[in-house]
Amino acid sequence: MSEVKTDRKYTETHEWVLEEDDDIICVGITDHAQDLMGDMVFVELPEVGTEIIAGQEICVVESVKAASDVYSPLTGEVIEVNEELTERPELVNQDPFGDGWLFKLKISSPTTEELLDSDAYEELLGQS
Amino acid sequence: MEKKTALAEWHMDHGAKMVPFAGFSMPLHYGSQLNEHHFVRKEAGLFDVSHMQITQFLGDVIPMLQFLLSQDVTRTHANQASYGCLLNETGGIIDDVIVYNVHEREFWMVSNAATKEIVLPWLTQYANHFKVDMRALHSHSMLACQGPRAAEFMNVRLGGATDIPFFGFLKSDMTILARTGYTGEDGFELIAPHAEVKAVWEDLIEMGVKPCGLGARDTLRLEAGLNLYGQDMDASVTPLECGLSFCLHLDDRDFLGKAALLQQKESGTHWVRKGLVLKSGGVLRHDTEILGSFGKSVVTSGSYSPTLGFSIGMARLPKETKDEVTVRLHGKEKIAELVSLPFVKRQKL
Repeated sequence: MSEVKTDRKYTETHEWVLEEDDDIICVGITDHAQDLMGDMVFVELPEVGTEIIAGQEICVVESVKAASDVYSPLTGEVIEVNEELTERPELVNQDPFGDGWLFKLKISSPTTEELLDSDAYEELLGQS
Repeated sequence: MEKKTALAEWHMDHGAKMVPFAGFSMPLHYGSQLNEHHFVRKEAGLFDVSHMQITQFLGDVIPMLQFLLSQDVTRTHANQASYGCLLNETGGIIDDVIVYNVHEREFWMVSNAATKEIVLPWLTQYANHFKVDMRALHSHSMLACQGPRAAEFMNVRLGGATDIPFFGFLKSDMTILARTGYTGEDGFELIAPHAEVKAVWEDLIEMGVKPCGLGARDTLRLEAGLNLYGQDMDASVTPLECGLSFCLHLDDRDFLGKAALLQQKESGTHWVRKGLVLKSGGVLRHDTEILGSFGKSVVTSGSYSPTLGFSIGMARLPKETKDEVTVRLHGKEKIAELVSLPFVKRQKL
Protein backbone atom coordinates (compact mmCIF):
# COMPACT_ATOMS: atom_id res chain seq x y z
CA MET A 1 0.00 0.00 0.00
CA SER A 2 1.63 3.25 -1.05
CA GLU A 3 0.78 6.69 0.26
CA VAL A 4 -1.52 8.91 -1.79
CA LYS A 5 -1.97 12.50 -0.54
CA THR A 6 -5.39 14.04 -1.00
CA ASP A 7 -4.09 17.62 -1.33
CA ARG A 8 -2.81 17.15 -4.89
CA LYS A 9 -3.46 15.79 -8.37
CA TYR A 10 -1.78 12.89 -10.19
CA THR A 11 -0.83 11.60 -13.63
CA GLU A 12 -1.08 8.09 -15.03
CA THR A 13 2.71 8.07 -15.20
CA HIS A 14 2.96 8.46 -11.41
CA GLU A 15 3.84 12.13 -11.07
CA TRP A 16 2.08 14.34 -8.51
CA VAL A 17 1.08 17.98 -9.03
CA LEU A 18 0.66 20.44 -6.17
CA GLU A 19 -0.90 23.81 -7.04
CA GLU A 20 1.13 26.49 -5.24
CA ASP A 21 -0.45 29.48 -6.91
CA ASP A 22 -2.77 30.34 -9.80
CA ASP A 23 -0.12 29.47 -12.35
CA ILE A 24 2.63 27.73 -10.42
CA ILE A 25 2.76 23.99 -9.76
CA CYS A 26 5.23 21.80 -7.91
CA VAL A 27 5.93 18.35 -9.35
CA GLY A 28 7.42 15.14 -7.99
CA ILE A 29 7.02 11.38 -8.30
CA THR A 30 4.67 9.38 -6.10
CA ASP A 31 5.40 7.00 -3.26
CA HIS A 32 4.35 4.15 -5.56
CA ALA A 33 6.92 5.21 -8.16
CA GLN A 34 9.82 5.57 -5.72
CA ASP A 35 9.01 2.21 -4.16
CA LEU A 36 9.00 0.51 -7.57
CA MET A 37 12.32 2.05 -8.49
CA GLY A 38 14.23 1.40 -5.29
CA ASP A 39 17.17 3.41 -3.95
CA MET A 40 17.76 6.55 -6.07
CA VAL A 41 21.34 7.33 -7.03
CA PHE A 42 21.10 10.14 -9.61
CA VAL A 43 18.51 12.75 -10.50
CA GLU A 44 18.98 14.61 -13.78
CA LEU A 45 16.98 17.80 -13.25
CA PRO A 46 15.76 20.06 -16.06
CA GLU A 47 17.34 23.47 -16.54
CA VAL A 48 15.53 26.49 -15.22
CA GLY A 49 13.98 28.28 -18.18
CA THR A 50 13.19 25.10 -20.10
CA GLU A 51 9.91 25.31 -21.95
CA ILE A 52 8.01 22.05 -21.89
CA ILE A 53 4.78 20.57 -23.23
CA ALA A 54 2.45 18.31 -21.25
CA GLY A 55 3.43 14.68 -21.72
CA GLN A 56 7.02 15.43 -22.77
CA GLU A 57 9.97 13.89 -20.92
CA ILE A 58 11.37 16.54 -18.65
CA CYS A 59 13.89 14.81 -16.42
CA VAL A 60 15.33 11.44 -15.45
CA VAL A 61 15.44 9.71 -12.08
CA GLU A 62 17.93 6.86 -11.82
CA SER A 63 17.92 4.17 -9.17
CA VAL A 64 20.36 1.31 -8.68
CA LYS A 65 17.85 -0.80 -10.62
CA ALA A 66 16.96 1.39 -13.60
CA ALA A 67 16.62 4.86 -15.11
CA SER A 68 13.11 6.25 -15.48
CA ASP A 69 11.81 9.23 -17.44
CA VAL A 70 9.65 11.76 -15.66
CA TYR A 71 6.97 13.40 -17.82
CA SER A 72 5.78 16.97 -17.47
CA PRO A 73 2.14 16.90 -16.32
CA LEU A 74 1.35 20.27 -17.87
CA THR A 75 2.66 22.82 -20.38
CA GLY A 76 4.84 25.68 -19.13
CA GLU A 77 8.31 26.87 -18.13
CA VAL A 78 10.63 25.46 -15.45
CA ILE A 79 11.14 28.17 -12.82
CA GLU A 80 12.81 26.23 -10.03
CA VAL A 81 14.47 22.84 -9.48
CA ASN A 82 15.30 20.98 -6.28
CA GLU A 83 19.09 21.39 -6.26
CA GLU A 84 19.41 19.34 -3.06
CA LEU A 85 18.70 16.18 -5.06
CA THR A 86 22.10 16.44 -6.73
CA GLU A 87 23.78 15.70 -3.39
CA ARG A 88 20.93 13.75 -1.83
CA PRO A 89 18.96 11.76 -4.42
CA GLU A 90 17.69 9.56 -1.56
CA LEU A 91 15.25 12.34 -0.62
CA VAL A 92 13.05 11.09 -3.45
CA ASN A 93 12.75 7.77 -1.62
CA GLN A 94 12.54 9.18 1.89
CA ASP A 95 10.04 11.98 1.27
CA PRO A 96 8.63 11.74 -2.27
CA PHE A 97 5.76 14.20 -1.57
CA GLY A 98 7.87 16.69 0.39
CA ASP A 99 11.64 17.17 0.36
CA GLY A 100 11.88 14.89 -2.69
CA TRP A 101 10.07 17.38 -4.98
CA LEU A 102 11.64 17.66 -8.42
CA PHE A 103 10.78 20.98 -10.11
CA LYS A 104 8.29 23.85 -10.31
CA LEU A 105 6.52 25.01 -13.45
CA LYS A 106 4.91 28.30 -14.37
CA ILE A 107 2.06 26.86 -16.36
CA SER A 108 0.62 28.50 -19.46
CA SER A 109 -2.60 26.53 -19.71
CA PRO A 110 -4.16 25.34 -16.47
CA THR A 111 -5.76 22.21 -17.90
CA THR A 112 -5.85 20.39 -14.59
CA GLU A 113 -9.01 18.56 -15.66
CA GLU A 114 -6.74 16.11 -17.46
CA LEU A 115 -5.09 15.17 -14.18
CA LEU A 116 -6.35 12.51 -11.81
CA ASP A 117 -7.62 13.39 -8.35
CA SER A 118 -6.39 11.32 -5.39
CA ASP A 119 -9.36 8.92 -5.57
CA ALA A 120 -8.80 8.23 -9.25
CA TYR A 121 -5.07 7.68 -8.62
CA GLU A 122 -5.83 5.25 -5.80
CA GLU A 123 -8.08 3.40 -8.22
CA LEU A 124 -5.31 3.31 -10.80
CA LEU A 125 -3.05 1.72 -8.21
CA GLY A 126 -5.74 -0.81 -7.34
CA GLN A 127 -5.78 0.46 -3.78
CA SER A 128 -9.36 1.70 -3.51
CA MET B 1 4.46 -20.53 -8.34
CA GLU B 2 7.92 -19.76 -6.99
CA LYS B 3 9.84 -22.10 -4.73
CA LYS B 4 10.59 -20.88 -1.24
CA THR B 5 13.70 -21.28 0.85
CA ALA B 6 13.41 -22.34 4.50
CA LEU B 7 13.91 -18.69 5.48
CA ALA B 8 11.24 -17.24 3.16
CA GLU B 9 8.70 -16.73 5.97
CA TRP B 10 11.36 -15.00 8.07
CA HIS B 11 12.18 -12.63 5.18
CA MET B 12 8.52 -11.75 4.67
CA ASP B 13 8.00 -11.21 8.41
CA HIS B 14 10.95 -8.82 8.46
CA GLY B 15 9.98 -6.39 5.74
CA ALA B 16 11.69 -7.99 2.76
CA LYS B 17 10.62 -6.98 -0.73
CA MET B 18 10.40 -10.42 -2.31
CA VAL B 19 11.09 -10.93 -6.02
CA PRO B 20 11.23 -13.99 -8.26
CA PHE B 21 14.78 -15.15 -8.93
CA ALA B 22 15.76 -18.37 -10.70
CA GLY B 23 12.43 -19.96 -9.78
CA PHE B 24 12.62 -18.88 -6.14
CA SER B 25 10.96 -16.11 -4.17
CA MET B 26 13.94 -14.20 -2.78
CA PRO B 27 14.48 -10.97 -0.80
CA LEU B 28 15.62 -8.10 -3.03
CA HIS B 29 16.11 -5.88 0.02
CA TYR B 30 14.66 -5.24 3.48
CA GLY B 31 14.10 -1.51 3.01
CA SER B 32 17.25 -0.12 1.38
CA GLN B 33 19.78 -2.04 -0.66
CA LEU B 34 22.22 0.87 -0.32
CA ASN B 35 22.13 0.67 3.48
CA GLU B 36 22.59 -3.09 3.33
CA HIS B 37 25.57 -2.71 1.01
CA HIS B 38 27.28 -0.18 3.31
CA PHE B 39 26.62 -2.36 6.34
CA VAL B 40 28.44 -5.31 4.76
CA ARG B 41 31.49 -3.17 3.99
CA LYS B 42 31.53 -1.69 7.51
CA GLU B 43 30.14 -4.41 9.79
CA ALA B 44 28.53 -7.72 8.77
CA GLY B 45 25.54 -8.70 6.65
CA LEU B 46 23.64 -11.94 6.29
CA PHE B 47 22.47 -13.42 2.98
CA ASP B 48 20.10 -16.35 2.37
CA VAL B 49 21.69 -18.18 -0.55
CA SER B 50 19.66 -21.36 -0.23
CA HIS B 51 18.45 -21.02 -3.80
CA MET B 52 21.86 -22.29 -4.92
CA GLN B 53 22.41 -25.92 -5.86
CA ILE B 54 24.28 -28.09 -3.34
CA THR B 55 25.57 -31.45 -4.51
CA GLN B 56 27.54 -34.18 -2.73
CA PHE B 57 29.83 -36.59 -4.63
CA LEU B 58 31.00 -39.87 -3.08
CA GLY B 59 33.34 -42.60 -4.28
CA ASP B 60 36.18 -42.34 -6.79
CA VAL B 61 35.35 -38.69 -7.45
CA ILE B 62 38.67 -37.19 -8.47
CA PRO B 63 38.89 -38.53 -12.06
CA MET B 64 35.42 -37.09 -12.78
CA LEU B 65 36.21 -33.65 -11.33
CA GLN B 66 39.59 -33.62 -13.07
CA PHE B 67 37.80 -34.13 -16.37
CA LEU B 68 35.03 -31.57 -15.91
CA LEU B 69 36.56 -28.59 -14.08
CA SER B 70 38.82 -25.71 -15.09
CA GLN B 71 40.68 -26.05 -11.81
CA ASP B 72 42.79 -29.05 -10.84
CA VAL B 73 41.24 -30.26 -7.57
CA THR B 74 44.33 -32.33 -6.73
CA ARG B 75 45.96 -28.99 -5.96
CA THR B 76 43.64 -28.73 -2.96
CA HIS B 77 44.06 -30.69 0.25
CA ALA B 78 41.32 -31.98 2.53
CA ASN B 79 39.24 -29.13 4.03
CA GLN B 80 40.12 -26.79 1.22
CA ALA B 81 37.71 -25.40 -1.37
CA SER B 82 38.43 -24.09 -4.86
CA TYR B 83 36.57 -21.78 -7.24
CA GLY B 84 36.39 -22.69 -10.92
CA CYS B 85 34.20 -23.56 -13.90
CA LEU B 86 32.45 -26.54 -15.41
CA LEU B 87 33.64 -26.48 -19.02
CA ASN B 88 32.26 -27.72 -22.31
CA GLU B 89 34.13 -29.14 -25.31
CA THR B 90 34.97 -25.74 -26.77
CA GLY B 91 36.29 -24.45 -23.45
CA GLY B 92 33.13 -22.45 -22.81
CA ILE B 93 31.73 -22.08 -19.29
CA ILE B 94 28.67 -24.11 -18.29
CA ASP B 95 28.65 -22.69 -14.76
CA ASP B 96 30.99 -21.31 -12.12
CA VAL B 97 31.20 -23.39 -8.98
CA ILE B 98 32.92 -23.84 -5.65
CA VAL B 99 34.18 -27.35 -5.01
CA TYR B 100 34.94 -28.59 -1.48
CA ASN B 101 37.61 -31.26 -0.98
CA VAL B 102 36.30 -33.13 2.08
CA HIS B 103 38.64 -36.07 1.44
CA GLU B 104 39.73 -38.21 -1.50
CA ARG B 105 36.38 -39.97 -1.71
CA GLU B 106 34.05 -37.10 -0.93
CA PHE B 107 33.63 -33.69 -2.58
CA TRP B 108 30.79 -31.18 -2.38
CA MET B 109 29.89 -28.63 -5.02
CA VAL B 110 27.84 -25.44 -4.92
CA SER B 111 26.59 -24.26 -8.31
CA ASN B 112 24.19 -21.54 -9.42
CA ALA B 113 20.43 -21.53 -8.95
CA ALA B 114 19.75 -20.35 -12.50
CA THR B 115 21.72 -23.18 -14.15
CA LYS B 116 20.24 -26.20 -12.34
CA GLU B 117 18.29 -27.45 -15.36
CA ILE B 118 21.52 -27.72 -17.34
CA VAL B 119 24.09 -28.51 -14.68
CA LEU B 120 22.31 -31.36 -12.89
CA PRO B 121 21.75 -33.49 -16.02
CA TRP B 122 25.28 -32.63 -17.16
CA LEU B 123 26.82 -33.83 -13.90
CA THR B 124 24.52 -36.85 -13.68
CA GLN B 125 25.63 -38.16 -17.06
CA TYR B 126 29.28 -37.94 -16.03
CA ALA B 127 28.62 -39.35 -12.55
CA ASN B 128 27.09 -42.40 -14.24
CA HIS B 129 30.03 -42.69 -16.61
CA PHE B 130 32.65 -42.35 -13.87
CA LYS B 131 30.57 -44.46 -11.43
CA VAL B 132 30.36 -41.70 -8.82
CA ASP B 133 27.55 -41.52 -6.26
CA MET B 134 26.01 -38.07 -6.82
CA ARG B 135 23.43 -36.63 -4.41
CA ALA B 136 21.59 -33.32 -4.78
CA LEU B 137 21.09 -32.12 -1.18
CA HIS B 138 17.47 -30.91 -1.04
CA SER B 139 17.62 -31.15 2.74
CA HIS B 140 20.11 -28.29 2.94
CA SER B 141 20.00 -24.51 3.18
CA MET B 142 22.87 -22.06 2.89
CA LEU B 143 23.64 -18.68 4.45
CA ALA B 144 26.51 -16.26 3.94
CA CYS B 145 27.75 -13.92 6.68
CA GLN B 146 30.00 -11.29 5.12
CA GLY B 147 31.93 -8.23 6.34
CA PRO B 148 34.91 -7.15 8.47
CA ARG B 149 33.03 -8.24 11.62
CA ALA B 150 31.78 -11.55 10.23
CA ALA B 151 34.52 -13.56 11.94
CA GLU B 152 33.79 -11.92 15.28
CA PHE B 153 30.09 -12.84 15.07
CA MET B 154 30.61 -16.32 13.63
CA ASN B 155 33.14 -17.15 16.33
CA VAL B 156 30.61 -16.44 19.06
CA ARG B 157 28.06 -18.68 17.40
CA LEU B 158 30.29 -21.39 15.87
CA GLY B 159 33.61 -21.36 17.71
CA GLY B 160 36.78 -21.88 15.69
CA ALA B 161 35.57 -19.80 12.77
CA THR B 162 38.49 -17.36 12.91
CA ASP B 163 40.98 -20.22 12.56
CA ILE B 164 39.59 -21.30 9.20
CA PRO B 165 41.91 -20.02 6.46
CA PHE B 166 40.61 -18.25 3.36
CA PHE B 167 38.84 -20.86 1.19
CA GLY B 168 39.32 -23.44 3.93
CA PHE B 169 36.37 -25.15 5.60
CA LEU B 170 35.33 -27.27 8.57
CA LYS B 171 32.98 -30.18 8.15
CA SER B 172 30.99 -31.86 10.84
CA ASP B 173 28.57 -34.62 9.83
CA MET B 174 26.50 -33.00 7.03
CA THR B 175 27.47 -29.41 7.79
CA ILE B 176 30.17 -27.34 6.10
CA LEU B 177 31.39 -23.97 7.38
CA ALA B 178 33.64 -22.37 4.75
CA ARG B 179 35.60 -19.13 4.68
CA THR B 180 34.24 -18.12 1.30
CA GLY B 181 31.94 -15.46 -0.10
CA TYR B 182 30.76 -13.33 -2.98
CA THR B 183 31.27 -9.82 -1.60
CA GLY B 184 35.03 -9.29 -1.55
CA GLU B 185 34.96 -8.97 2.26
CA ASP B 186 35.99 -11.56 4.83
CA GLY B 187 33.15 -13.94 5.45
CA PHE B 188 31.70 -17.38 5.85
CA GLU B 189 29.20 -19.61 4.12
CA LEU B 190 27.32 -22.22 6.09
CA ILE B 191 25.88 -25.21 4.25
CA ALA B 192 23.72 -27.28 6.59
CA PRO B 193 20.31 -28.90 7.08
CA HIS B 194 17.44 -26.39 7.04
CA ALA B 195 16.81 -26.29 10.80
CA GLU B 196 20.46 -25.62 11.59
CA VAL B 197 20.78 -22.78 9.07
CA LYS B 198 17.57 -21.23 10.40
CA ALA B 199 18.82 -21.39 13.99
CA VAL B 200 22.20 -19.85 13.14
CA TRP B 201 20.48 -17.17 11.03
CA GLU B 202 18.23 -16.11 13.88
CA ASP B 203 21.09 -16.10 16.39
CA LEU B 204 23.31 -13.97 14.15
CA ILE B 205 20.47 -11.47 13.60
CA GLU B 206 19.98 -11.28 17.35
CA MET B 207 23.70 -10.47 17.72
CA GLY B 208 23.43 -7.54 15.33
CA VAL B 209 24.21 -8.93 11.87
CA LYS B 210 21.83 -7.32 9.36
CA PRO B 211 19.85 -9.24 6.72
CA CYS B 212 20.82 -8.25 3.16
CA GLY B 213 19.11 -9.03 -0.12
CA LEU B 214 19.97 -9.74 -3.74
CA GLY B 215 20.26 -6.05 -4.58
CA ALA B 216 23.17 -5.53 -2.19
CA ARG B 217 24.62 -8.91 -3.17
CA ASP B 218 24.94 -7.71 -6.76
CA THR B 219 26.50 -4.31 -6.03
CA LEU B 220 28.93 -5.90 -3.58
CA ARG B 221 30.14 -8.62 -5.94
CA LEU B 222 30.53 -6.17 -8.82
CA GLU B 223 32.66 -3.83 -6.68
CA ALA B 224 34.79 -6.90 -5.84
CA GLY B 225 35.22 -7.67 -9.55
CA LEU B 226 33.41 -11.01 -9.30
CA ASN B 227 31.59 -12.47 -12.30
CA LEU B 228 27.91 -13.34 -12.49
CA TYR B 229 27.11 -16.37 -14.64
CA GLY B 230 24.65 -15.49 -17.35
CA GLN B 231 25.92 -11.91 -17.55
CA ASP B 232 29.74 -11.87 -17.46
CA MET B 233 30.08 -15.35 -18.89
CA ASP B 234 28.06 -18.07 -20.54
CA ALA B 235 28.66 -21.22 -22.57
CA SER B 236 30.21 -19.20 -25.41
CA VAL B 237 32.81 -17.52 -23.17
CA THR B 238 36.05 -19.15 -22.01
CA PRO B 239 37.80 -18.50 -18.68
CA LEU B 240 40.54 -16.61 -20.56
CA GLU B 241 37.98 -14.16 -21.91
CA CYS B 242 36.31 -13.26 -18.61
CA GLY B 243 39.12 -12.82 -16.13
CA LEU B 244 39.20 -16.40 -14.86
CA SER B 245 42.67 -17.51 -15.99
CA PHE B 246 43.59 -17.85 -12.33
CA CYS B 247 41.31 -20.90 -11.94
CA LEU B 248 42.29 -22.51 -15.23
CA HIS B 249 45.03 -25.09 -14.76
CA LEU B 250 46.16 -26.29 -18.18
CA ASP B 251 48.93 -28.69 -17.13
CA ASP B 252 49.12 -32.26 -15.88
CA ARG B 253 45.72 -33.60 -16.87
CA ASP B 254 43.35 -34.11 -19.72
CA PHE B 255 40.00 -32.33 -19.38
CA LEU B 256 37.00 -31.29 -21.45
CA GLY B 257 37.85 -28.19 -23.47
CA LYS B 258 41.62 -28.44 -22.92
CA ALA B 259 42.56 -28.50 -26.61
CA ALA B 260 40.40 -25.49 -27.46
CA LEU B 261 41.75 -23.52 -24.50
CA LEU B 262 45.39 -24.33 -25.26
CA GLN B 263 44.82 -23.10 -28.78
CA GLN B 264 43.13 -19.92 -27.61
CA LYS B 265 45.92 -19.22 -25.11
CA GLU B 266 48.59 -19.73 -27.76
CA SER B 267 46.99 -17.46 -30.32
CA GLY B 268 46.62 -14.76 -27.68
CA THR B 269 44.19 -12.73 -29.79
CA HIS B 270 41.15 -13.29 -27.61
CA TRP B 271 39.41 -10.41 -25.86
CA VAL B 272 39.74 -10.06 -22.10
CA ARG B 273 37.75 -8.71 -19.15
CA LYS B 274 38.27 -5.07 -18.22
CA GLY B 275 36.86 -2.71 -15.62
CA LEU B 276 35.11 0.57 -16.50
CA VAL B 277 34.10 3.53 -14.36
CA LEU B 278 31.83 6.43 -15.20
CA LYS B 279 32.88 9.40 -13.09
CA SER B 280 30.16 11.66 -14.52
CA GLY B 281 26.49 10.92 -13.76
CA GLY B 282 24.64 7.95 -15.17
CA VAL B 283 24.78 4.22 -14.64
CA LEU B 284 26.44 1.57 -16.80
CA ARG B 285 24.17 -1.45 -17.13
CA HIS B 286 24.20 -4.91 -18.69
CA ASP B 287 24.22 -4.43 -22.49
CA THR B 288 25.23 -0.74 -22.43
CA GLU B 289 26.93 -0.12 -25.78
CA ILE B 290 30.67 0.52 -25.87
CA LEU B 291 32.32 2.14 -28.90
CA GLY B 292 36.00 2.26 -29.80
CA SER B 293 38.53 1.74 -32.54
CA PHE B 294 37.84 -1.99 -32.17
CA GLY B 295 34.22 -1.47 -33.19
CA LYS B 296 31.49 -2.33 -30.70
CA SER B 297 31.21 -4.18 -27.43
CA VAL B 298 28.81 -4.17 -24.49
CA VAL B 299 28.96 -3.89 -20.73
CA THR B 300 28.48 -7.39 -19.31
CA SER B 301 27.69 -6.25 -15.75
CA GLY B 302 27.16 -2.65 -14.69
CA SER B 303 25.72 -0.83 -11.73
CA TYR B 304 26.05 2.09 -9.38
CA SER B 305 28.82 1.50 -6.83
CA PRO B 306 27.56 2.57 -3.41
CA THR B 307 31.06 2.50 -1.90
CA LEU B 308 32.64 4.61 -4.65
CA GLY B 309 29.67 6.88 -5.43
CA PHE B 310 29.76 6.42 -9.20
CA SER B 311 28.97 3.75 -11.75
CA ILE B 312 31.21 0.76 -12.48
CA GLY B 313 31.04 -2.01 -15.05
CA MET B 314 32.87 -4.88 -16.67
CA ALA B 315 33.23 -5.66 -20.36
CA ARG B 316 35.08 -7.89 -22.84
CA LEU B 317 37.49 -5.77 -24.85
CA PRO B 318 40.69 -6.26 -26.85
CA LYS B 319 43.70 -6.76 -24.57
CA GLU B 320 45.37 -3.56 -25.83
CA THR B 321 42.39 -1.31 -24.99
CA LYS B 322 43.44 1.22 -22.40
CA ASP B 323 42.71 4.59 -20.81
CA GLU B 324 39.12 5.17 -21.97
CA VAL B 325 36.24 4.08 -24.18
CA THR B 326 33.00 5.72 -25.27
CA VAL B 327 29.72 4.39 -23.90
CA ARG B 328 26.23 5.20 -25.07
CA LEU B 329 23.73 5.95 -22.29
CA HIS B 330 20.17 7.13 -22.88
CA GLY B 331 21.15 8.14 -26.42
CA LYS B 332 24.09 10.27 -25.25
CA GLU B 333 27.78 9.43 -25.57
CA LYS B 334 29.93 9.54 -22.45
CA ILE B 335 33.53 8.65 -21.65
CA ALA B 336 34.23 5.70 -19.37
CA GLU B 337 37.71 5.21 -17.90
CA LEU B 338 39.37 1.81 -17.84
CA VAL B 339 40.58 0.68 -14.41
CA SER B 340 42.05 -2.49 -12.98
CA LEU B 341 39.97 -4.85 -10.88
CA PRO B 342 38.74 -5.08 -8.20
CA PHE B 343 37.04 -1.71 -8.00
CA VAL B 344 36.96 -1.92 -4.20
CA LYS B 345 39.48 -3.83 -2.13
CA ARG B 346 38.65 -5.74 1.02
CA GLN B 347 38.33 -3.54 4.10
CA LYS B 348 41.25 -3.99 6.49
CA LEU B 349 40.33 -6.05 9.51
